[in-house]
Amino acid sequence: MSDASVSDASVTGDCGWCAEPLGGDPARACVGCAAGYHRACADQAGRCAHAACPQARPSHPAWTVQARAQDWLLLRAPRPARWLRVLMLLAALPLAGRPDGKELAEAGRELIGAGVLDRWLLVSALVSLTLTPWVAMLVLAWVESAAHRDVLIDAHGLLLDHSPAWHGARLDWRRIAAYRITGGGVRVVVRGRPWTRLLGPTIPCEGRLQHDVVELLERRGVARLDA
Amino acid sequence: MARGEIYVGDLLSEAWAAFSRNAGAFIGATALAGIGLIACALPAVVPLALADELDWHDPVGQLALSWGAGAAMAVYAELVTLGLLRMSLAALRGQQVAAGDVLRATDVVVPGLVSGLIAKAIIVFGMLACLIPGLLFACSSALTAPFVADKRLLPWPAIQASRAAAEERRLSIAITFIVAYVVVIVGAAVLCVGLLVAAPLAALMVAGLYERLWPRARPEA
Repeated sequence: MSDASVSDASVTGDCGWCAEPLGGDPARACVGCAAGYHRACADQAGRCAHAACPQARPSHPAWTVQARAQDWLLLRAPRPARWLRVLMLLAALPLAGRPDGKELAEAGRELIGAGVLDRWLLVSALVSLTLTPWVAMLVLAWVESAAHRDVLIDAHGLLLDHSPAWHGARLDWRRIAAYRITGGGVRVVVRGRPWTRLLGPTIPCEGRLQHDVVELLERRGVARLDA
Repeated sequence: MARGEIYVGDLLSEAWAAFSRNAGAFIGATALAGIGLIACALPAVVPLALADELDWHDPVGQLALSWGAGAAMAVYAELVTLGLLRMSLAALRGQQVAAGDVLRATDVVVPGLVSGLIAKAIIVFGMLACLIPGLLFACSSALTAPFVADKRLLPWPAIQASRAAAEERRLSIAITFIVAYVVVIVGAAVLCVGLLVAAPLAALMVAGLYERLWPRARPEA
Protein backbone atom coordinates (compact mmCIF):
# COMPACT_ATOMS: atom_id res chain seq x y z
CA MET A 1 0.00 0.00 0.00
CA SER A 2 1.19 3.51 -0.62
CA ASP A 3 2.47 5.73 2.16
CA ALA A 4 -0.76 7.72 1.91
CA SER A 5 -2.96 4.80 2.81
CA VAL A 6 -0.99 3.12 5.62
CA SER A 7 0.84 4.19 8.73
CA ASP A 8 3.45 2.33 10.74
CA ALA A 9 1.79 1.32 13.97
CA SER A 10 1.90 -1.15 16.80
CA VAL A 11 -1.14 -3.15 15.72
CA THR A 12 -2.26 -6.28 17.50
CA GLY A 13 -4.48 -9.14 16.31
CA ASP A 14 -4.31 -11.00 12.99
CA CYS A 15 -3.01 -9.73 9.66
CA GLY A 16 -5.80 -8.66 7.31
CA TRP A 17 -4.06 -10.33 4.34
CA CYS A 18 -2.49 -13.63 5.53
CA ALA A 19 -4.60 -14.01 8.72
CA GLU A 20 -1.46 -14.89 10.73
CA PRO A 21 -0.99 -13.15 14.13
CA LEU A 22 0.81 -9.81 13.93
CA GLY A 23 2.55 -10.19 17.31
CA GLY A 24 6.23 -9.36 17.25
CA ASP A 25 6.44 -8.37 13.56
CA PRO A 26 6.66 -4.75 12.44
CA ALA A 27 3.10 -3.95 11.36
CA ARG A 28 1.25 -1.41 9.22
CA ALA A 29 -2.26 -0.07 9.79
CA CYS A 30 -4.71 1.05 7.11
CA VAL A 31 -5.62 4.72 7.60
CA GLY A 32 -9.13 4.01 6.32
CA CYS A 33 -10.24 1.29 8.77
CA ALA A 34 -7.20 0.70 11.05
CA ALA A 35 -6.91 -2.97 9.97
CA GLY A 36 -3.40 -4.32 10.64
CA TYR A 37 -1.02 -5.95 8.14
CA HIS A 38 2.50 -7.37 8.16
CA ARG A 39 4.78 -5.05 6.21
CA ALA A 40 5.39 -7.69 3.55
CA CYS A 41 1.67 -8.46 3.32
CA ALA A 42 0.80 -4.77 2.90
CA ASP A 43 3.27 -4.52 0.02
CA GLN A 44 1.96 -7.72 -1.52
CA ALA A 45 -1.72 -6.71 -1.21
CA GLY A 46 -1.28 -3.20 -2.57
CA ARG A 47 -4.59 -2.25 -0.94
CA CYS A 48 -6.61 -2.75 2.21
CA ALA A 49 -8.33 -6.13 2.07
CA HIS A 50 -11.18 -5.11 4.38
CA ALA A 51 -14.35 -5.11 2.25
CA ALA A 52 -15.97 -2.05 3.86
CA CYS A 53 -12.80 0.05 3.93
CA PRO A 54 -12.84 3.33 1.97
CA GLN A 55 -9.20 2.63 0.98
CA ALA A 56 -10.14 -0.72 -0.55
CA ARG A 57 -8.95 0.21 -4.05
CA PRO A 58 -5.34 -0.62 -4.88
CA SER A 59 -2.97 2.18 -4.07
CA HIS A 60 0.47 0.73 -4.62
CA PRO A 61 2.58 3.03 -6.80
CA ALA A 62 3.84 0.05 -8.83
CA TRP A 63 2.12 -3.04 -10.17
CA THR A 64 1.20 -5.63 -7.57
CA VAL A 65 0.24 -9.25 -8.20
CA GLN A 66 -3.46 -8.59 -7.65
CA ALA A 67 -3.53 -5.22 -9.38
CA ARG A 68 -1.87 -6.70 -12.47
CA ALA A 69 -4.39 -9.54 -12.54
CA GLN A 70 -7.33 -7.13 -12.46
CA ASP A 71 -5.80 -4.29 -14.48
CA TRP A 72 -6.05 -1.99 -11.47
CA LEU A 73 -3.55 0.77 -10.94
CA LEU A 74 -3.64 4.03 -9.03
CA LEU A 75 -1.19 6.65 -10.25
CA ARG A 76 -0.67 9.57 -7.94
CA ALA A 77 0.08 12.86 -9.66
CA PRO A 78 3.02 14.94 -8.47
CA ARG A 79 1.80 17.93 -6.49
CA PRO A 80 2.48 21.32 -8.13
CA ALA A 81 5.61 23.06 -6.89
CA ARG A 82 4.77 25.40 -3.98
CA TRP A 83 6.82 28.29 -5.43
CA LEU A 84 4.95 28.05 -8.73
CA ARG A 85 1.55 28.10 -6.98
CA VAL A 86 2.52 31.10 -4.84
CA LEU A 87 4.01 32.99 -7.80
CA MET A 88 1.01 32.39 -10.03
CA LEU A 89 -1.43 33.20 -7.23
CA LEU A 90 0.31 36.51 -6.58
CA ALA A 91 0.23 37.28 -10.30
CA ALA A 92 -3.47 36.33 -10.57
CA LEU A 93 -4.52 38.21 -7.41
CA PRO A 94 -5.09 41.60 -9.05
CA LEU A 95 -7.89 39.92 -10.96
CA ALA A 96 -9.75 39.31 -7.70
CA GLY A 97 -9.66 42.87 -6.44
CA ARG A 98 -9.74 44.66 -9.77
CA PRO A 99 -11.29 48.13 -9.47
CA ASP A 100 -14.09 48.95 -11.91
CA GLY A 101 -13.48 50.60 -15.27
CA LYS A 102 -14.64 53.99 -13.96
CA GLU A 103 -11.86 54.16 -11.36
CA LEU A 104 -9.26 53.07 -13.93
CA ALA A 105 -10.52 55.64 -16.45
CA GLU A 106 -10.40 58.44 -13.85
CA ALA A 107 -6.83 57.56 -12.87
CA GLY A 108 -5.90 57.39 -16.56
CA ARG A 109 -7.45 60.80 -17.29
CA GLU A 110 -5.54 62.38 -14.38
CA LEU A 111 -2.26 60.84 -15.48
CA ILE A 112 -2.71 61.98 -19.08
CA GLY A 113 -3.87 65.42 -17.94
CA ALA A 114 -0.80 65.82 -15.72
CA GLY A 115 1.44 64.81 -18.62
CA VAL A 116 2.89 61.91 -16.62
CA LEU A 117 1.97 59.30 -19.22
CA ASP A 118 1.49 59.25 -22.94
CA ARG A 119 -1.98 58.02 -24.05
CA TRP A 120 -0.63 54.93 -25.83
CA LEU A 121 1.67 54.07 -22.92
CA LEU A 122 -1.36 54.17 -20.63
CA VAL A 123 -3.38 51.92 -22.95
CA SER A 124 -0.50 49.47 -23.10
CA ALA A 125 -0.11 49.53 -19.30
CA LEU A 126 -3.83 48.90 -18.76
CA VAL A 127 -3.90 46.08 -21.30
CA SER A 128 -0.92 44.34 -19.69
CA LEU A 129 -2.33 44.96 -16.20
CA THR A 130 -5.52 43.27 -17.32
CA LEU A 131 -4.00 40.46 -19.36
CA THR A 132 -1.13 39.41 -17.08
CA PRO A 133 -3.37 38.27 -14.20
CA TRP A 134 -5.59 36.34 -16.64
CA VAL A 135 -2.61 34.56 -18.14
CA ALA A 136 -1.27 33.82 -14.64
CA MET A 137 -4.67 32.52 -13.62
CA LEU A 138 -4.86 30.21 -16.63
CA VAL A 139 -1.35 28.89 -15.90
CA LEU A 140 -2.37 28.39 -12.27
CA ALA A 141 -5.54 26.54 -13.31
CA TRP A 142 -3.51 24.33 -15.65
CA VAL A 143 -0.87 23.68 -12.99
CA GLU A 144 -3.60 22.86 -10.46
CA SER A 145 -5.80 20.70 -12.67
CA ALA A 146 -4.92 19.47 -16.08
CA ALA A 147 -1.51 17.99 -15.47
CA HIS A 148 -1.83 17.02 -11.83
CA ARG A 149 -4.80 14.73 -11.32
CA ASP A 150 -4.62 11.31 -9.67
CA VAL A 151 -5.75 8.56 -12.06
CA LEU A 152 -7.08 5.12 -11.20
CA ILE A 153 -7.00 2.65 -14.10
CA ASP A 154 -9.50 -0.16 -13.67
CA ALA A 155 -11.61 -2.55 -15.72
CA HIS A 156 -14.02 0.21 -16.84
CA GLY A 157 -11.49 2.82 -17.89
CA LEU A 158 -9.92 5.78 -16.10
CA LEU A 159 -11.22 7.29 -12.88
CA LEU A 160 -9.86 10.76 -12.13
CA ASP A 161 -9.77 12.63 -8.78
CA HIS A 162 -11.08 9.56 -6.94
CA SER A 163 -10.82 9.73 -3.15
CA PRO A 164 -12.56 8.04 -0.22
CA ALA A 165 -15.00 10.99 -0.14
CA TRP A 166 -15.57 11.47 -3.88
CA HIS A 167 -16.46 8.89 -6.54
CA GLY A 168 -14.41 10.72 -9.15
CA ALA A 169 -14.84 11.56 -12.84
CA ARG A 170 -15.07 8.56 -15.16
CA LEU A 171 -13.60 8.07 -18.65
CA ASP A 172 -14.75 4.75 -20.14
CA TRP A 173 -12.45 2.70 -22.39
CA ARG A 174 -14.83 3.20 -25.34
CA ARG A 175 -14.46 7.00 -24.97
CA ILE A 176 -10.67 6.87 -25.25
CA ALA A 177 -9.63 7.29 -28.87
CA ALA A 178 -5.85 7.29 -28.58
CA TYR A 179 -2.91 8.11 -26.36
CA ARG A 180 0.31 10.04 -26.73
CA ILE A 181 3.41 10.12 -24.58
CA THR A 182 4.27 13.49 -23.08
CA GLY A 183 6.84 14.79 -20.62
CA GLY A 184 4.58 14.24 -17.62
CA GLY A 185 3.23 10.81 -18.56
CA VAL A 186 0.67 9.42 -20.98
CA ARG A 187 -2.01 11.78 -22.30
CA VAL A 188 -5.29 10.25 -23.46
CA VAL A 189 -7.28 11.68 -26.36
CA VAL A 190 -11.03 11.55 -25.86
CA ARG A 191 -13.36 10.65 -28.73
CA GLY A 192 -15.18 13.72 -30.11
CA ARG A 193 -12.97 16.19 -28.25
CA PRO A 194 -10.10 17.18 -30.58
CA TRP A 195 -8.66 19.64 -28.06
CA THR A 196 -7.73 16.74 -25.77
CA ARG A 197 -4.79 16.07 -28.12
CA LEU A 198 -3.20 19.02 -26.31
CA LEU A 199 -5.22 19.31 -23.09
CA GLY A 200 -6.44 15.77 -22.43
CA PRO A 201 -6.20 14.04 -19.05
CA THR A 202 -2.63 12.92 -18.37
CA ILE A 203 -1.81 9.67 -16.61
CA PRO A 204 1.20 10.58 -14.45
CA CYS A 205 3.87 7.91 -14.93
CA GLU A 206 7.52 7.59 -15.87
CA GLY A 207 10.04 4.89 -16.70
CA ARG A 208 9.01 1.31 -16.08
CA LEU A 209 5.56 2.38 -14.90
CA GLN A 210 4.98 4.30 -18.16
CA HIS A 211 5.87 1.16 -20.10
CA ASP A 212 3.31 -0.81 -18.07
CA VAL A 213 0.62 1.84 -18.62
CA VAL A 214 1.26 1.86 -22.38
CA GLU A 215 1.12 -1.93 -22.42
CA LEU A 216 -2.21 -1.84 -20.60
CA LEU A 217 -3.67 0.82 -22.95
CA GLU A 218 -2.64 -1.19 -26.02
CA ARG A 219 -4.12 -4.34 -24.51
CA ARG A 220 -7.37 -2.36 -24.29
CA GLY A 221 -7.16 -1.46 -27.98
CA VAL A 222 -6.12 2.18 -27.51
CA ALA A 223 -3.79 3.21 -30.33
CA ARG A 224 -0.76 5.45 -30.05
CA LEU A 225 -1.43 8.79 -31.72
CA ASP A 226 2.06 9.53 -33.02
CA ALA A 227 2.90 5.94 -34.03
CA MET B 1 -32.92 13.94 3.89
CA ALA B 2 -34.49 12.86 0.61
CA ARG B 3 -31.61 12.98 -1.90
CA GLY B 4 -32.31 14.41 -5.33
CA GLU B 5 -35.63 16.09 -4.42
CA ILE B 6 -35.41 19.86 -3.95
CA TYR B 7 -38.05 21.87 -2.15
CA VAL B 8 -36.93 25.34 -1.14
CA GLY B 9 -39.24 25.31 1.90
CA ASP B 10 -37.57 22.11 3.14
CA LEU B 11 -34.12 23.60 2.57
CA LEU B 12 -35.09 26.71 4.54
CA SER B 13 -36.55 24.78 7.48
CA GLU B 14 -33.55 22.41 7.57
CA ALA B 15 -31.24 25.42 7.47
CA TRP B 16 -33.12 27.05 10.34
CA ALA B 17 -33.04 23.83 12.41
CA ALA B 18 -29.26 23.44 11.88
CA PHE B 19 -28.74 27.14 12.67
CA SER B 20 -30.80 26.87 15.90
CA ARG B 21 -28.70 23.90 17.07
CA ASN B 22 -25.43 25.81 16.47
CA ALA B 23 -26.53 29.46 16.73
CA GLY B 24 -23.55 30.58 18.84
CA ALA B 25 -20.98 29.07 16.49
CA PHE B 26 -22.61 30.48 13.34
CA ILE B 27 -23.11 33.99 14.77
CA GLY B 28 -19.49 33.99 16.02
CA ALA B 29 -18.24 32.78 12.63
CA THR B 30 -20.16 35.46 10.72
CA ALA B 31 -18.92 38.14 13.13
CA LEU B 32 -15.32 36.91 12.58
CA ALA B 33 -15.86 37.05 8.83
CA GLY B 34 -17.26 40.60 9.02
CA ILE B 35 -14.49 41.89 11.31
CA GLY B 36 -11.85 40.40 8.99
CA LEU B 37 -13.40 42.00 5.91
CA ILE B 38 -13.52 45.41 7.63
CA ALA B 39 -9.87 44.96 8.70
CA CYS B 40 -8.91 44.25 5.06
CA ALA B 41 -10.79 47.31 3.78
CA LEU B 42 -9.78 49.88 6.43
CA PRO B 43 -6.14 50.43 5.35
CA ALA B 44 -7.47 51.56 1.95
CA VAL B 45 -10.77 53.21 2.88
CA VAL B 46 -9.35 55.59 5.52
CA PRO B 47 -6.53 57.15 3.45
CA LEU B 48 -8.77 57.38 0.37
CA ALA B 49 -11.56 59.07 2.35
CA LEU B 50 -9.09 61.52 3.88
CA ALA B 51 -7.14 62.09 0.65
CA ASP B 52 -8.13 65.80 0.44
CA GLU B 53 -7.36 66.48 4.10
CA LEU B 54 -4.01 64.70 3.77
CA ASP B 55 -3.33 66.53 0.49
CA TRP B 56 -2.67 63.18 -1.20
CA HIS B 57 -3.26 63.49 -4.95
CA ASP B 58 -1.41 60.53 -6.40
CA PRO B 59 -3.83 58.67 -8.74
CA VAL B 60 -1.49 55.70 -9.25
CA GLY B 61 -0.92 55.30 -5.50
CA GLN B 62 -4.65 55.57 -4.78
CA LEU B 63 -5.46 53.07 -7.50
CA ALA B 64 -2.79 50.63 -6.22
CA LEU B 65 -4.08 50.97 -2.67
CA SER B 66 -7.70 50.31 -3.59
CA TRP B 67 -6.63 47.46 -5.92
CA GLY B 68 -4.52 45.84 -3.16
CA ALA B 69 -7.29 46.16 -0.58
CA GLY B 70 -9.77 44.70 -3.10
CA ALA B 71 -7.50 41.69 -3.67
CA ALA B 72 -7.01 41.15 0.08
CA MET B 73 -10.77 41.34 0.61
CA ALA B 74 -11.40 38.89 -2.23
CA VAL B 75 -8.98 36.34 -0.77
CA TYR B 76 -10.41 36.73 2.74
CA ALA B 77 -13.98 36.56 1.43
CA GLU B 78 -13.13 33.32 -0.39
CA LEU B 79 -11.58 31.88 2.78
CA VAL B 80 -14.61 32.65 4.96
CA THR B 81 -17.12 31.60 2.28
CA LEU B 82 -15.50 28.19 1.94
CA GLY B 83 -15.16 27.98 5.74
CA LEU B 84 -18.83 28.83 6.25
CA LEU B 85 -19.83 26.22 3.66
CA ARG B 86 -17.74 23.57 5.42
CA MET B 87 -19.29 24.56 8.76
CA SER B 88 -22.77 24.37 7.24
CA LEU B 89 -22.13 20.90 5.78
CA ALA B 90 -20.77 19.71 9.13
CA ALA B 91 -23.82 21.12 10.96
CA LEU B 92 -26.23 19.47 8.50
CA ARG B 93 -24.39 16.16 8.99
CA GLY B 94 -24.87 16.46 12.76
CA GLN B 95 -21.22 17.18 13.56
CA GLN B 96 -19.92 19.67 16.10
CA VAL B 97 -18.96 23.12 14.78
CA ALA B 98 -17.10 26.04 16.34
CA ALA B 99 -16.87 29.72 15.32
CA GLY B 100 -13.14 29.38 14.52
CA ASP B 101 -13.89 26.78 11.83
CA VAL B 102 -14.75 29.62 9.47
CA LEU B 103 -11.02 30.40 9.11
CA ARG B 104 -9.87 26.81 8.64
CA ALA B 105 -10.45 26.36 4.90
CA THR B 106 -6.93 27.55 4.04
CA ASP B 107 -6.20 24.32 2.13
CA VAL B 108 -8.81 25.10 -0.54
CA VAL B 109 -8.46 28.89 -0.94
CA VAL B 110 -6.34 28.66 -4.12
CA PRO B 111 -8.60 26.21 -6.01
CA GLY B 112 -11.61 28.13 -4.67
CA LEU B 113 -10.34 31.45 -6.01
CA VAL B 114 -9.25 30.01 -9.35
CA SER B 115 -12.49 28.10 -9.93
CA GLY B 116 -14.51 31.19 -8.99
CA LEU B 117 -12.58 33.34 -11.45
CA ILE B 118 -12.86 30.79 -14.26
CA ALA B 119 -16.61 30.39 -13.68
CA LYS B 120 -17.06 34.17 -13.55
CA ALA B 121 -15.18 34.61 -16.84
CA ILE B 122 -17.31 31.97 -18.59
CA ILE B 123 -20.50 33.55 -17.20
CA VAL B 124 -19.43 36.99 -18.51
CA PHE B 125 -18.74 35.55 -21.98
CA GLY B 126 -22.05 33.70 -21.81
CA MET B 127 -23.90 36.89 -20.88
CA LEU B 128 -22.31 38.64 -23.85
CA ALA B 129 -23.70 35.85 -26.05
CA CYS B 130 -27.33 36.96 -25.57
CA LEU B 131 -27.67 36.36 -21.81
CA ILE B 132 -29.15 32.83 -21.86
CA PRO B 133 -25.86 30.83 -22.05
CA GLY B 134 -24.48 32.94 -19.18
CA LEU B 135 -27.55 32.34 -17.00
CA LEU B 136 -27.48 28.59 -17.75
CA PHE B 137 -23.80 28.35 -16.89
CA ALA B 138 -24.32 30.42 -13.73
CA CYS B 139 -26.86 27.82 -12.53
CA SER B 140 -24.64 24.91 -13.62
CA SER B 141 -21.55 26.21 -11.84
CA ALA B 142 -23.38 27.33 -8.68
CA LEU B 143 -22.18 24.32 -6.69
CA THR B 144 -18.50 24.71 -7.59
CA ALA B 145 -17.55 26.21 -4.21
CA PRO B 146 -19.18 23.42 -2.15
CA PHE B 147 -17.39 20.81 -4.29
CA VAL B 148 -14.06 22.58 -3.67
CA ALA B 149 -14.76 22.97 0.06
CA ASP B 150 -16.15 19.49 0.70
CA LYS B 151 -14.45 17.15 -1.80
CA ARG B 152 -11.28 19.25 -2.17
CA LEU B 153 -11.59 19.06 -5.96
CA LEU B 154 -9.30 21.08 -8.22
CA PRO B 155 -10.78 24.04 -10.13
CA TRP B 156 -11.82 22.46 -13.44
CA PRO B 157 -12.95 19.10 -11.97
CA ALA B 158 -15.03 21.07 -9.45
CA ILE B 159 -16.76 23.03 -12.23
CA GLN B 160 -17.39 19.77 -14.14
CA ALA B 161 -18.77 18.09 -11.01
CA SER B 162 -21.06 21.07 -10.39
CA ARG B 163 -22.33 20.91 -13.99
CA ALA B 164 -23.01 17.18 -13.65
CA ALA B 165 -24.83 17.69 -10.33
CA ALA B 166 -26.94 20.53 -11.74
CA GLU B 167 -28.08 18.53 -14.76
CA GLU B 168 -31.91 18.88 -15.05
CA ARG B 169 -32.03 20.80 -11.75
CA ARG B 170 -31.05 24.28 -12.94
CA LEU B 171 -34.41 25.86 -12.18
CA SER B 172 -34.46 24.52 -8.61
CA ILE B 173 -30.88 25.76 -8.14
CA ALA B 174 -31.81 29.21 -9.46
CA ILE B 175 -34.85 29.43 -7.16
CA THR B 176 -32.81 28.31 -4.13
CA PHE B 177 -30.12 30.91 -4.82
CA ILE B 178 -32.71 33.65 -5.35
CA VAL B 179 -34.37 32.79 -2.01
CA ALA B 180 -30.96 32.68 -0.27
CA TYR B 181 -30.17 36.08 -1.81
CA VAL B 182 -33.48 37.52 -0.57
CA VAL B 183 -32.70 36.17 2.93
CA VAL B 184 -29.34 37.97 2.87
CA ILE B 185 -30.93 41.22 1.61
CA VAL B 186 -33.55 41.10 4.38
CA GLY B 187 -30.74 40.46 6.91
CA ALA B 188 -28.74 43.39 5.59
CA ALA B 189 -31.81 45.62 5.74
CA VAL B 190 -32.04 45.07 9.52
CA LEU B 191 -29.16 47.47 10.21
CA CYS B 192 -26.71 44.82 8.93
CA VAL B 193 -27.00 43.01 12.30
CA GLY B 194 -29.46 40.66 10.67
CA LEU B 195 -26.60 39.39 8.52
CA LEU B 196 -25.32 37.48 11.56
CA VAL B 197 -28.35 35.21 11.10
CA ALA B 198 -29.06 35.66 7.38
CA ALA B 199 -25.57 34.83 6.03
CA PRO B 200 -25.31 31.47 7.85
CA LEU B 201 -28.91 30.67 6.83
CA ALA B 202 -28.04 31.29 3.18
CA ALA B 203 -24.87 29.16 3.49
CA LEU B 204 -26.88 26.38 5.15
CA MET B 205 -29.43 26.49 2.31
CA VAL B 206 -26.68 26.17 -0.31
CA ALA B 207 -25.06 23.37 1.70
CA GLY B 208 -28.42 21.58 1.93
CA LEU B 209 -28.87 21.91 -1.82
CA TYR B 210 -25.37 20.51 -2.42
CA GLU B 211 -25.98 17.66 0.02
CA ARG B 212 -29.01 16.59 -2.05
CA LEU B 213 -27.32 16.95 -5.43
CA TRP B 214 -23.72 15.77 -5.11
CA PRO B 215 -24.44 12.01 -5.01
CA ARG B 216 -26.07 12.20 -8.46
CA ALA B 217 -23.07 13.96 -10.02
CA ARG B 218 -21.32 11.54 -12.39
CA PRO B 219 -18.95 13.84 -14.25
CA GLU B 220 -17.05 12.68 -17.30
CA ALA B 221 -13.34 13.40 -17.19
